[in-house]
Amino acid sequence: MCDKELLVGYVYDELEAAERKAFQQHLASCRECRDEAHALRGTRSHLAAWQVPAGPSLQPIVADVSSASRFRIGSWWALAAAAALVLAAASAIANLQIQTVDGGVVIRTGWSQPATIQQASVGAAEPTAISREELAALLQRVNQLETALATRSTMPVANVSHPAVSSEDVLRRARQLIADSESRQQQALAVRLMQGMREMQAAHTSDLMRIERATNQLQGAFNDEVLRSREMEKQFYRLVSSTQLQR
Amino acid sequence: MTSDEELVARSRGGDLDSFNQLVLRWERPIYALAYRVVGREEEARDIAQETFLRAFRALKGFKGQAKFSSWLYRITLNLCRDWMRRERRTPIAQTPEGVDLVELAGEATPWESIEDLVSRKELGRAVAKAMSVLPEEQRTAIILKEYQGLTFQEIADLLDCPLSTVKTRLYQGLTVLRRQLEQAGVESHFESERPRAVVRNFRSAGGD
Repeated sequence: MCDKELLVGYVYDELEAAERKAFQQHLASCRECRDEAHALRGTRSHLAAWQVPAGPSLQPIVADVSSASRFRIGSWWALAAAAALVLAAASAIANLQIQTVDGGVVIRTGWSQPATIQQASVGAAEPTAISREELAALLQRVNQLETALATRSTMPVANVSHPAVSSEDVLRRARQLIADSESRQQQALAVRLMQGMREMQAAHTSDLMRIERATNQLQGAFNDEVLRSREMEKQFYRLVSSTQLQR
Repeated sequence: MTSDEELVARSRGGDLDSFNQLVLRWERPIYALAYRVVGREEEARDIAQETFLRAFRALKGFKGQAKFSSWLYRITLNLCRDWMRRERRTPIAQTPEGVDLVELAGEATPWESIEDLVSRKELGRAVAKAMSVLPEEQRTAIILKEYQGLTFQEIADLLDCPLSTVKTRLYQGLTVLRRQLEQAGVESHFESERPRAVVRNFRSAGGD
């Protein structure tokens, strides 16, 4: 019985030079091996025809992020993600960063100290403006999360205490903001979600990977024009400072 | 182009972008591997996503003792194995019924006639079906060799088995495939130029 290991090595071109030469000499005198090697090479040549379908890319499209089904309502992660999206979209914030560190969350905002607080009137709301109550509620939520991390308490279950804003409202608003924007090119979402999950969060991780990829993709896909609404910016700064004063 | 090792090093340092680049680079091969092993698109996608998820979480423990791609493959294969055990399923040859000529027309390469393309599709189906007949070990070895392009040694390292075992599985797998394809009416014409498969009586020979 001829050496099948050599045969298969030959068929796959994995023989060393010396081995190959020896085997070729064997082939010259062995009909059985010659036929088999030829047949198996023929078989191999057909295998390439088995193609893989294009399949959905692992990178979710923007619509996935906005789709409510992707968020587990009640998950604080989802709310943090929604909050970040709304915050970033609604105001000219750059470098809003959400990072997970050792299973916790750190949220940093990149704006510098507001130069002056102007008593600008809220004025007629622009189509994409969100109400100050909503902004306040989100900011409060962000503060809660930061506090929770700082004190290393257990992660708060997401139930926004503000009566006017529910989780569903926030998400709906986030989606609406993204959809209603005058020009998608004007949006720049500098949001990042990182993962360093604890095991108890394992159930949410695949959703989160989708969120993370979506936001990274958004960041890359859109150019760096930011919503430059001065009124909204001032409005937001005002909320920030007034919220701070309330502490 | 930045090497895998470099991207891994940056990812371990906290650079998310680099990890994303790794995902972009490897998502297709990983998906292809999972798809061929389990035979289902949805499951393959879930397994591929889970692979990168686990890789991300385990980055700290990856010190470059193996190739990054091998490490990914190992995760994927474990996930495939777990899934198949859980579902007690053997993969089906998931191929669509019939051939949509309009869709095919878009896929034809310049030197191919529609007849060629149809027969290529039918050949693909025949191969998928033949592969589903193989026992898991042989099928995995064939997939790693033919579609991921690993060497015998790389496969042995990946599957934690001796070199000779890999060769045996490949030999047996190829032999079964040869028989299956012959029964399906695929003749083995091996030519050194572009090999052509002649699929005779595919449907009447018990295919589909």
